[in-house]
Amino acid sequence: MENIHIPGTHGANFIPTVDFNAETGICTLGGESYLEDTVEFYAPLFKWLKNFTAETKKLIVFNFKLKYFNTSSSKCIIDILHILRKYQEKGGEIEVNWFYDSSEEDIEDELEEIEDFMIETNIKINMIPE
Amino acid sequence: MEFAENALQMYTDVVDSTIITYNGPFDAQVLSIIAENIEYSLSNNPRVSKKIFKIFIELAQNISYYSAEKQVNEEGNYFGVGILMLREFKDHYSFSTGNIIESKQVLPVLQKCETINILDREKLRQYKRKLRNMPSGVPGGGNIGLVQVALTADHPLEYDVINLDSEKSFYILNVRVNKS
Amino acid sequence: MDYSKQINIVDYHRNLDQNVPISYKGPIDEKILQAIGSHIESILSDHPKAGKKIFKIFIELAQNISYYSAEKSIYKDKKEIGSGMVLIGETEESYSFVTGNLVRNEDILSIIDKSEIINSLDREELREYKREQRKLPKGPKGGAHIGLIMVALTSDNPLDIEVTPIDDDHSFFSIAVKIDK
Repeated sequence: MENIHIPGTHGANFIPTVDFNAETGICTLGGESYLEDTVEFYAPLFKWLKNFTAETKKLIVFNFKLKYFNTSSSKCIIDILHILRKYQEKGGEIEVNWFYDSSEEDIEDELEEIEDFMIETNIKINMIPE
Repeated sequence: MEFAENALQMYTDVVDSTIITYNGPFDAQVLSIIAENIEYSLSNNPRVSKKIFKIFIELAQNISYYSAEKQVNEEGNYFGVGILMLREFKDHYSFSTGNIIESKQVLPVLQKCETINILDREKLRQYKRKLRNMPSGVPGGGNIGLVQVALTADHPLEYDVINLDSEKSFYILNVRVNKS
Repeated sequence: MDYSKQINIVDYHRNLDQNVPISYKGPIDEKILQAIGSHIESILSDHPKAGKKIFKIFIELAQNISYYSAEKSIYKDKKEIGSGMVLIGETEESYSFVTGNLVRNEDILSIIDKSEIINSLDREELREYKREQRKLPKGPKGGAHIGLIMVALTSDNPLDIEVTPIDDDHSFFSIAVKIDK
């Protein structure tokens, strides 16, 4: 499987940094996510994850390192977590980490949102301060 | 909270006729985007579009340089703060700007507007050439923007100065361009 | 003279108890949002916490205008662009962020309903409402139906909504959000 690598940019829209690696099973989504057409950007990522979870038996480590995401992107994060949960349900092993900047002032909002992601998807997300 | 109500007031005051208004720092980035939006908004009338564009560039630059109210950006650059507004009427478009000036500038500003308005087109062109040949930095010289605006517009300059306090006044300029 | 309406604008800025560091009305596209957004960041740099909140709110509300405003006067690169206004006000204790745009009357009831629901809920209930709404299928451009909910969660104050009929088909919808400094 081809790996996915997308360098993030901070322009008129914020494109997140994507690193999906089929050899190591480590997938990272970082930077800022605010896109003109959110679905258009995330659809290929969903497809990759679905294919990968269908053929691999590896531990998948998914690292979120997002500094900012808008509500449309939050919906796509949920979709990613659902794909991972399905993999887990059929016996796959996953580890989901959320890295956050503990020096940020309004970190409570973000922590609350991650908690909501867990409630919505039934997935355990490890909160890792950086 | 009455803020939403005020917003409505502001919007409905201008909703019938206004194409664009902006109030804030006049930096190159914002100006180029507004210029583009103006061009697109007026694209059905190339004559007007070209004239308004020229007027916009001159007046916006004036605010950017000369407004007595400044805003600093993240890179530490200062930009003049002001208001601009483009409105459409039955037979003309109207482009207006407003910015704060120091009280000691009120007289020179009024004089300049008056001088421009009493000159006919030929005299105005002469005046422009005279200003253009003055060394830059000489008070009153250099700034030919307003003269160019008067040459581009189809009507005399409309202007007003409102006294805010002992040190500051608000300077309003309105320029009309006929639809045909 | 013909600029009486403009003088109203000037009065508007002066009469408010608050300072209005930035406002814009016109076509709202990605570029103007970015430009205004970056000014908002520098205007608010003295209050990083409020600044970050306003930036988040700004993106959600401005995006709503660019997608959903009923006033679409210009076309750029064959794309329709929504028109509306955005404004930031400042008092000693707080910032207000205001957006306004025309909406079709057929859409207005659902917006009012949603806003009223949001204002009637406490923080925990609001989070529950967000989780519930996020389960719905995506809207146009991947909209998650939770923009207003996130705005309320981020501001930690009720949404101040005004709807005024303009003509048979349209109303003016404005929303003001207060963010404590």
